[in-house]
Amino acid sequence: MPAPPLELPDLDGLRVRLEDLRGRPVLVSFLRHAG
Amino acid sequence: MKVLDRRERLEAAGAAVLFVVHDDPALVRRTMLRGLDVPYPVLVDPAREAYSAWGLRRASAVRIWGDPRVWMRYLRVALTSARPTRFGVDTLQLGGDFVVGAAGVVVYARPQRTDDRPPVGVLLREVEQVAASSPW
Repeated sequence: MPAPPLELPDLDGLRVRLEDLRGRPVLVSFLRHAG
Repeated sequence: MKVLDRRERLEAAGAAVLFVVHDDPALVRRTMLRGLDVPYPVLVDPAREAYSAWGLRRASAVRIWGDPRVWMRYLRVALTSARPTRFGVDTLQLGGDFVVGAAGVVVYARPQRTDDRPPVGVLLREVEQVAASSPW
């Protein structure tokens, strides 16, 4: 399955795109909530 | 964020890591990231559009709060925090772990069904398999 799009700002507001990491393995970890 | 303890293996595999959160960045810094050295991007998705696109849903309150392991985890956090702990806006939102291969294909998907995560060793093995099968 192709990875769904993922383009979001980081904590400092800089946009990061999963697509820009193409060519290397990427671990994407969605966290539940802060605390 | 237990993978942070295995940074050397991730680096040896040439892997990138992206964490995604949905809470306010200030709260994330004060709680989840407090005392941690996180060398990877932490992306912020307040609308949870990426969570939805990656198939991550909300659990029922019973599924989360009916699990004694969840209570134990929260208790541990409360006891080890120097200050009163404030939790994020939605404790029912589920997360998940994914490994994306070099060609942009999801080779491992583990959406949460409750407050659980796969062992870090499983994630590392998946990452290393991708690295071993990639042409670079």
